[in-house]
Amino acid sequence: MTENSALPTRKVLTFISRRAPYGQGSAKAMLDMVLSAAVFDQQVNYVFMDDGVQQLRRGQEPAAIDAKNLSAAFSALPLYDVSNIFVDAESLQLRGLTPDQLVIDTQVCDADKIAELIRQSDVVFNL
Amino acid sequence: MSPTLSTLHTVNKSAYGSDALASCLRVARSGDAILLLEDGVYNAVDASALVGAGLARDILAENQSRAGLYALGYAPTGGSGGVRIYALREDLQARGIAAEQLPAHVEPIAYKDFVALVCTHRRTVSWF
Amino acid sequence: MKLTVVIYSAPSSQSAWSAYQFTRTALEAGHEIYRLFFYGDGVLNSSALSVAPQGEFDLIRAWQTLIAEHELDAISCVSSALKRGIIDTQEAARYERAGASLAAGTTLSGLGQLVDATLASDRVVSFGA
Repeated sequence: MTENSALPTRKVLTFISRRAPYGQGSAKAMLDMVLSAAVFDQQVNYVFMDDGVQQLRRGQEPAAIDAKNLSAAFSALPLYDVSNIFVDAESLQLRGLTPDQLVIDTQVCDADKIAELIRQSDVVFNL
Repeated sequence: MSPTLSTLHTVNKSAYGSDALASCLRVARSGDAILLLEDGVYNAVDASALVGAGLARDILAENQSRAGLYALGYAPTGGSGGVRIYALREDLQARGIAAEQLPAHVEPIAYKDFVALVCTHRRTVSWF
Repeated sequence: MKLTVVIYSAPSSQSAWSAYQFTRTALEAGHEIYRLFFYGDGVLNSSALSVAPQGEFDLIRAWQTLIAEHELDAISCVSSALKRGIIDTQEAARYERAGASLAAGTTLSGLGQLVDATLASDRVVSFGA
């Protein structure tokens, strides 16, 4: 980008969500960032890695701890045109999870794919 | 990979209490740089530092993340090969890690160099 | 270069200090800070009410001085801030709270300002704990 070029209106933003839901606010904070980026028409990649994959586990009933259901919000992602959703296969495997146990359809990927997404991004948020 | 397309990764946690380093190492690629800061600087002088002296091979065999840090740093850093590894001087100093204790593949740098690294890399990914 | 700094961590964490030190050094090196964006616990860096123990570095005051001296655009995410008791006079009136707690020089606004910053900046650097 040069000094005199017009500001871009669209960038590739990759969000790597690596924290479990409920124990602390990071997962929700990341979801809010993703939704904002989508509302402002950015090209969004949403990646779940490490404990972040727990956000997608089926059967969550966070009302039991007076918390809002985060996983319900994931079903709304297509409404925001967020369709590039990736889950790290190794993180799933280490936690004994399989793709059919997740609340939404995602692209199960390996570390090479995540490296490629990072390399294609203008900005990466990792929370 | 040209430097203008490569990524600066920052890691600010010790590998014992966090998966930040391990996950960073899984996605860091040749041409990238890793900056260790805050508690991340402890990773610079972990068992990986002892490998060169042949003292810690067994430990490393069981610990991929630190072995990975060593392997990445050990690869030739000129041109396309390897990942450069830096550690922030202030954080090393604060934690009692002397420059002589650093393995050869970890370069101590100042804050102004951190700023320069952010600018010379296409993007920065913070692992915490 | 135009840089935006995102601060996720509370002032009690070293990473908030790292963000401050990075910002200060970038300014010294002649870079432009397009925006400071405090998010999540990071909004606690914009408290007007905190008191640092005697003899300890007052990071919150240091942020305020840096923001004033360089006329930086500093934004605390409004939803993060309200939750944590960081409110300006307008929000204090709206929610009938006893007083305002947002430091002068920092503005409450939404995540759209972060998206705007990513578009306008050459680099975005995040600090978290």
